[in-house]
Amino acid sequence: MELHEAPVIGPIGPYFDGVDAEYWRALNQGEFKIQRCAKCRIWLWGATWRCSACGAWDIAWEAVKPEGVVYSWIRTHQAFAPEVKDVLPYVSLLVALPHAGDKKVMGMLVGDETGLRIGARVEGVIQPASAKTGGQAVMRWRLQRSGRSG
Amino acid sequence: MNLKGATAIAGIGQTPNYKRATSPDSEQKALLRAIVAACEDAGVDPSDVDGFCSYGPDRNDGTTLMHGLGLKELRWSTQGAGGGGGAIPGAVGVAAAAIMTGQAEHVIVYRATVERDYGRFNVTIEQDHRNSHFTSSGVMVAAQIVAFRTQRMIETLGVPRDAMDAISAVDYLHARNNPRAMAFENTVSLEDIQNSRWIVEPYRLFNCSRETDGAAAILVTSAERARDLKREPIYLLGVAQGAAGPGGVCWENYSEEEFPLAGFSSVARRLWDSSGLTHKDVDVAQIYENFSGPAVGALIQHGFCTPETAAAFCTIENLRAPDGKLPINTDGGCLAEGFVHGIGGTVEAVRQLRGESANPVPGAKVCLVTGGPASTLVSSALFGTKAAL
Ligand SMILES: [Zn+2]
Repeated sequence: MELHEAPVIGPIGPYFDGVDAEYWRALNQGEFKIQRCAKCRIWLWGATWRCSACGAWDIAWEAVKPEGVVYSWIRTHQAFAPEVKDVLPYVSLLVALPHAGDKKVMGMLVGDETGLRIGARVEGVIQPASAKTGGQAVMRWRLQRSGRSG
Repeated sequence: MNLKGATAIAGIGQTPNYKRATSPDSEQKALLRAIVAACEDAGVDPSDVDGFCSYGPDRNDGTTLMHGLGLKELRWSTQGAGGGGGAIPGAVGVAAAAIMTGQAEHVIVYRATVERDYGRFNVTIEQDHRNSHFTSSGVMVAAQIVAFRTQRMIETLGVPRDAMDAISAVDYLHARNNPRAMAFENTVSLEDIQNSRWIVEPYRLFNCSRETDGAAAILVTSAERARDLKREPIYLLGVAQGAAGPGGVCWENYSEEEFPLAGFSSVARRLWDSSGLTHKDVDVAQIYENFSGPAVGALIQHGFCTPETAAAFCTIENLRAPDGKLPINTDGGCLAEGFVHGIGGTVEAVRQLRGESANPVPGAKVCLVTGGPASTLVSSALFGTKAAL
């Protein structure tokens, strides 16, 4: 699956109460942000209102270099939703972020699947907002190739 | 207050299992039938039921049921909250809490799923703030979420997929003898399981449960009251529900101890500590297997094997009735008996301890029931005959 082909299922975007609004807003601005406690500096994910480590209410959003390691992966063969039927089978990932305390984020793999395994290195690329993505920019992941430029 | 032996299951009731969306009864009618059957089994007039506890997103709370049952008084209306089907058998513990503290006398634990009325219950993921993070990644069903965890169990812990395929095989083996099972008289072999089509890697078709229309109810009361009723009481020996912290719904960031397995690290410890029993005391087990991968995790986390020994332990020979080391899912389980959100395992525990299972384990005194592996809340319970007290 190429980047522009990657679908989303249904409407996506900030949760109604706003807890992860900055994540989606930042992606639309071309930035990948994760929560970090302003007081004890621990990375936090999924999005939260209060630091699970120190109890602080002041939670910052920090830009993170979109590099990661495959923590786990699945390959979906069944069309659980009409939006994905043209891209079957496809790979979804949990990506551990070494630049954000190894917090794991969910994502979709685009590009060549060769070498997919737990521990494989991936890099993030933002899929611009389109009709395919419900008008919201989305972070996608590619397997890193040694010697690959760009 | 000692929980062990203080309460008991006095009656069980269950509708037939129907292929999804084919129940002749509406969901509420099916559930009322199951509750009335549980009352008749126990010898309790349905109007004397005074408490309810379901779990997961059941649509029929106590207030919706009391009219059809003609309740004299509703005293306890509760639900095991969170984690999909994980709160069964914890819901029996909720009923026990009400009974032991005098807040109710006859509590019905129940679950009903009739897709004819409401559509597929297992399609959409739990609704919380991570929903868009999942659906933007093509993830929307429980099979996919749990598959991430099983993939890591296989690849990182090195548990061969043969272990989970053996669980599927033993489920189908047991269902052959169970006229209630969706897969009654099936001929599914281990080879068929391992050659079936991919649903979501690492799961093939036969690693997945089959959504079923139906309803089941369990009547819980005090041990003292149960001894006056029609059937031999099946005692609650121990129960625990919950999840290890941190995490909760944020399962993607669970600890390395918990992620590849099934969520039972704290629950299993409390189950054994509070009951004074160990896995060695268990004669037979009903291991909820929404998908067969996390069922292996449940067996590991309850102490029956380790990741290293899982393949040697999880074999058809070890897991089958009547002669396996630990016969499991003696009705065919969620994969082959039917999947009414996992309540069938607790009903089967009662049948097994009464000596009425389609796949009896002779002399069984203690049955372990585990609920909702790899859901965000899980629970386990131990049930026993009088001889286990
Ligand atoms: Zn903090």
